[in-house]
Amino acid sequence: MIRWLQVISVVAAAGAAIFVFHVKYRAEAVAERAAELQRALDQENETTSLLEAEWSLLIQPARVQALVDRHSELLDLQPLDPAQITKLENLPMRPGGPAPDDEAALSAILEAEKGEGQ
Amino acid sequence: MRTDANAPASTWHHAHRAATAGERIALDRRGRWRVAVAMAGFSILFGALAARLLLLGVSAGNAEEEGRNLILTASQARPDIVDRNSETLATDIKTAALFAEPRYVIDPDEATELITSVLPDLDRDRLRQLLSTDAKFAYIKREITPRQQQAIHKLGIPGIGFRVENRRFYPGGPAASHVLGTVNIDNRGIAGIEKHIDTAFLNDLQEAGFANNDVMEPVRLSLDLRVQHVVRDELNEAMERYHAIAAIGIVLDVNTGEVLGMSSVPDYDSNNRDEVLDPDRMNRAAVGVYEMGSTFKGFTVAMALDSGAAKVTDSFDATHGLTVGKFTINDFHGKHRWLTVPEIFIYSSNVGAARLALALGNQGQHDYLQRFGLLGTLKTELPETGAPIVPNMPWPKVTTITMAFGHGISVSPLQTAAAGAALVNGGFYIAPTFLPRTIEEAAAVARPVLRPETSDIMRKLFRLNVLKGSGKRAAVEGYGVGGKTGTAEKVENGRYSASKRRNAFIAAFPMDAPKYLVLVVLDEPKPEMPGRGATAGINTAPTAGNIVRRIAPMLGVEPKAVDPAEDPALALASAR
Repeated sequence: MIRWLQVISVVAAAGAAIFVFHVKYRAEAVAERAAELQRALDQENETTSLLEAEWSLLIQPARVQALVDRHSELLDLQPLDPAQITKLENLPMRPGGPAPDDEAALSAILEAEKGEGQ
Repeated sequence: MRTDANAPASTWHHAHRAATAGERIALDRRGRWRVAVAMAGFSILFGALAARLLLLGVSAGNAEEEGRNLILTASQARPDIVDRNSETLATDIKTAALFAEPRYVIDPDEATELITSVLPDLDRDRLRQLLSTDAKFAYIKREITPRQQQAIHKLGIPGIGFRVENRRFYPGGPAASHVLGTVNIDNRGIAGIEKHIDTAFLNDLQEAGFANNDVMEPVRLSLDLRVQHVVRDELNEAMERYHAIAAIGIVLDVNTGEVLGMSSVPDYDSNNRDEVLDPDRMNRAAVGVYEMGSTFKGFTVAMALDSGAAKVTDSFDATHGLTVGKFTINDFHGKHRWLTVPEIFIYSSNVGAARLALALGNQGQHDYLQRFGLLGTLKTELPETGAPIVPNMPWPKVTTITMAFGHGISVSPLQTAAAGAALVNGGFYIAPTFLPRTIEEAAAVARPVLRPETSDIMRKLFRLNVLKGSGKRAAVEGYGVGGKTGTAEKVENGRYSASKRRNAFIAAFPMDAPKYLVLVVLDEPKPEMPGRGATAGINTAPTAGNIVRRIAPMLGVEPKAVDPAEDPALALASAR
């Protein structure tokens, strides 16, 4: 009986040793991977915060205003007038479209204009 | 199982066959005892191993934490600062610091040559000396650029290394610098909100070892970056147009006391620490104390009406100047007749304001000024604040008179703005803040100063002054702006100078239910063109109007085609 016990314990010991080594190496690999991911994460975070800083630099009102001023003539920009702001419910109902006859006349004029332009 | 164990067991039995029963029992006992001892020994051994394993497992995390903090303490991490709409106002970016471990530097001369080839502005002799010592650690240069770091790294000098440090970055540069303040090279706040953050919680957090960018929530301010920009932009514009030496602008939410924008130009770039200490770039809005001039007439009229010393329909004698002792007070735009209270306000009559203050008396004036928060030092989150210069009680009659039109008392513009908000918000003094505050929180700190009826009259007077009085140029179509001008002569060599003025305009909108207050102060404005005037109505009023025109749509104030505050205001003017 004791002999069999010995055999079993040797097998068990060998098995345990193999298992422990396996776990050990796996743990090492996982730790390495974790560290790698952590590094990547840190780098990504750093990049994100840098990009955020750059973004806030790009959308600074002072910078945007300078751009607007530079191109205002080309884009025909002008400051907002309070009279241009209103609520949707304050808008008058949309009048009906032009009568069919008028529409035909209108497109004829537009066609003529187009022809002249060319 | 029996047969399996047969062979060794039979040998054992064979050897001991001769032994007597007694001996066998003794042997058995001894053997068992030995086995027990061996087992105990191994148990202790393995127990010790297991305990050690546990200890390692538990303490491993701590060891890592300690190492992390060690790196971070070099230049402390700070929480980001964002405006009320979460736009970044200040953030940390990582930079490299070049350091040396001089005891590991093999050839100091060669190392010096190599390093100065990349960083030519370093002092060679000092660097050589530094590298020749036996020190463990020394900074060579902090905040170097990534390109410089790369170049030095490629040189591969032993004993030289880099350390990652946090550097504060303000994307807006000077946009909100007086509110934000700045930090020193160790990333510690030395001015403005940055300093407030340190004293309020960051230092404690730092000591406890929890200051880490991953954990810290950004600090939200009440500022609106867009409003802040508009204020600063218009101030710069006005300074140039009217050739002023300085300009101050404040936008305040009258119902919560939140500061949405505060600027004082010339200002500094928070990224440039050297500019911070320049006295010309000081925060005039919170630290400077000035005689606010005729803007004070708003307070005088309000306190006279509120106390019952005068009724809005009462008239006061402004036919002549008012003489007290050897002083005579005159009106700038004299009407030389009896004026009603609204007329005193819109014609900005010194004599009329003086008579109102005299009707109230110095004790009443003192009590109201106290309640308006104009006699004590204003405390906000900003560490920088200016103590007002006020006369001691009981002040003489002549002081009561001059204070009625804003002379003989110097207060900070921010203080004036907070007091001005009380005139139009229903009569509550709400201490200004740079942190977000809800209406409910504001109600908890609000202190009644005026009766609601008085505040109602003041709204109409403010509106009237823009419709008919000195504030006409502040009018913005659709937003019902109301305001009061103030032109104060500056003191030069102990006397009031006729040529140097400090102009102010305090405005609020929309006047039927005021939401925001705008205060503009221009220091020593000159005529825009020769031949024109340089009074507050000509320069600060249009500047305030420009600010309102730009910020009102941003703040969601709905423009109205018909101003509901106009008719009541005009009705007040004709009331007799």
